[in-house]
Amino acid sequence: MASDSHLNHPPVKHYVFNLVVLTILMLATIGAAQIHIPTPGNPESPLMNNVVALFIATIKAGLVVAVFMGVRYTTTLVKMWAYTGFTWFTLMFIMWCDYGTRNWEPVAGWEGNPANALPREPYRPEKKAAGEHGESHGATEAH
Amino acid sequence: MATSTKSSSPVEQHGHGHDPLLHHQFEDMHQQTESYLVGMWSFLVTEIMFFGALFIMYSIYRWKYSHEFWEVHNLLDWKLGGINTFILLLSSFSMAMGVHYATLKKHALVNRCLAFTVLCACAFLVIKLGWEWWPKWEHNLFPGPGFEWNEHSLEKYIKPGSDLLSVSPNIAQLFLSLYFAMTGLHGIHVLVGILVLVGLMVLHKKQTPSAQDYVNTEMVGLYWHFVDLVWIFLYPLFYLIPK
Repeated sequence: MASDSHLNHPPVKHYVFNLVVLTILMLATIGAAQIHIPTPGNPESPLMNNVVALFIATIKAGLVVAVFMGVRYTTTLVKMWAYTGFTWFTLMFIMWCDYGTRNWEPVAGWEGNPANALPREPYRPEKKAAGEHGESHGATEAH
Repeated sequence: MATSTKSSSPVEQHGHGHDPLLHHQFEDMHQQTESYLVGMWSFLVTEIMFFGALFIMYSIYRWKYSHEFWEVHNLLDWKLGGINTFILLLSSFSMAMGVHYATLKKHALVNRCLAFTVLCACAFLVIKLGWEWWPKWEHNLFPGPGFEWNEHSLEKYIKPGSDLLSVSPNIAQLFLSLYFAMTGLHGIHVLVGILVLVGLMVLHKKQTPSAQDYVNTEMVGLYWHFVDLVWIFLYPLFYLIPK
């Protein structure tokens, strides 16, 4: 028999507490952006600032989902559905595997236009062979 | 199952005559509510994918042009973005309170909470459009044929030590295109949220049957919290880029 667990909303004080914590975390995000957080091994890199900002944003998002959206208090089925959505989102980062590893295997034409982030033209072996003899033949010249 | 054979009402024939809010295809209110919530979350999953693709695109370009993005992000005012973040957090709180009162069937209090949420949403849009978008439009910094990237258009934004003009106009347009597309899409969601919230307020004011079931308010609340959720990530990604 199904219970009325879907009606189990948190008490008002949970909402108030959540708002206070979210506000503090928002201020923490702003504060963390004003200082440079050194990255181990590469102190000049802004990597740690990005990591901290996104970590705080993820905690804030978790609090909104858990308390304001009531996922913490809802049924198992709804919980599963909600978590599935965010799991799908993380799978989108698989695209990074493509963009992040393209320079591991250079292809003629990809580096052609500096204003275009990802220029990509068909790989033409005959042009590559010509380029190896000292001639500069970009793939953009191929027709 | 109902045993009554005298009733001609399909609802009563299905044994659900005891609860006027229960639709005939559901066994009980629990199943109905759970189905509504799963349906709403399915919609939100598509929204996550929708915005997710934009976030991935943003991350790829920011990775490639990290320094340029840092320079151009100085066009944005992090203080206004922070105020808007707080406004949306407040609106999420009032929306959650609205759902809370809907479970208690306190329609007048629900409407007060929803009205405050609408007020916050309007304040968000006024700041976004009036103080953020409009000055950029006026200075021809909106990507497109009229885009200008020179001392005149950047007069307001160039500060001592600023190296904005060293950034390629194409990359500046790339950042601004992402900014206007993502915050614009978010703004459209805010606008839709306002319309839905006002519609819900009318239902509660008239105390229509659909307003008697708290789950309708809960579903609108889920949508509104999602709008807040997107902004939680947009704010640090666009306004607080580290050097």
